[in-house]
Amino acid sequence: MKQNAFYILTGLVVTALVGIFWLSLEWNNALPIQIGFIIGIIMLYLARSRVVGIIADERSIAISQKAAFHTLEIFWVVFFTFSLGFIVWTSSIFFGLERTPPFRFMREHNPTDMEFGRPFLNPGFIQLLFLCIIIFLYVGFKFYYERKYGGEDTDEE
Amino acid sequence: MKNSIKVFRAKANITQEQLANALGVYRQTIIAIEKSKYVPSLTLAFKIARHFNVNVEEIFECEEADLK
Repeated sequence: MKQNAFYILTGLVVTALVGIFWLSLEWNNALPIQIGFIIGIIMLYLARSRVVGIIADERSIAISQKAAFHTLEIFWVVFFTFSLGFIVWTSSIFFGLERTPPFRFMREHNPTDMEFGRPFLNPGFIQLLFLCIIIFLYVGFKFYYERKYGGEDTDEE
Repeated sequence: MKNSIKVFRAKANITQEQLANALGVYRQTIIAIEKSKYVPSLTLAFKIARHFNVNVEEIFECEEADLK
């Protein structure tokens, strides 16, 4: 498979996933988008492994590994902190304690059943936001290590 | 880690791009190694040496600071 064909396939998969996401919202059923997303990602991974013309260069692999490791180092702390906070907000009753959420909005609403218009307090949206931040963090680290390991393209002397 | 890839390349009259293609790496990797900003794996070091028909020690020189 050529690289351009892979990009076209990626576009098709993303378009299909947007449609399935909308269907899931209409049907009020999470399964179609969850299963669809996993199948879509597996399809893209399989297709990527069949793309010809990509050199597995050890320096670029080392840079990707370092960037991924440092992204994970930072991200797991942020994500763990958020998860701990959310457990405290929502699970006091589970631990036999009286539930007194810190924010008025959360005291008045069930945090897992928030009304439309306040979606950014919903854990799903916050997790998606974190996932978007990961991409920027990863790209930033890649850029940093590209420079550190001297990848700048200079003219031949 | 000092190296003399540039010298061997000049002797063989080949460009960074040609060497990179012969070794199956990006040109940026050759640039980074020549500038001593990236230390190649043993495999790549041996590939480079084999390409120029010399021993690894003739191309790569380990300095005292590298061993600390």
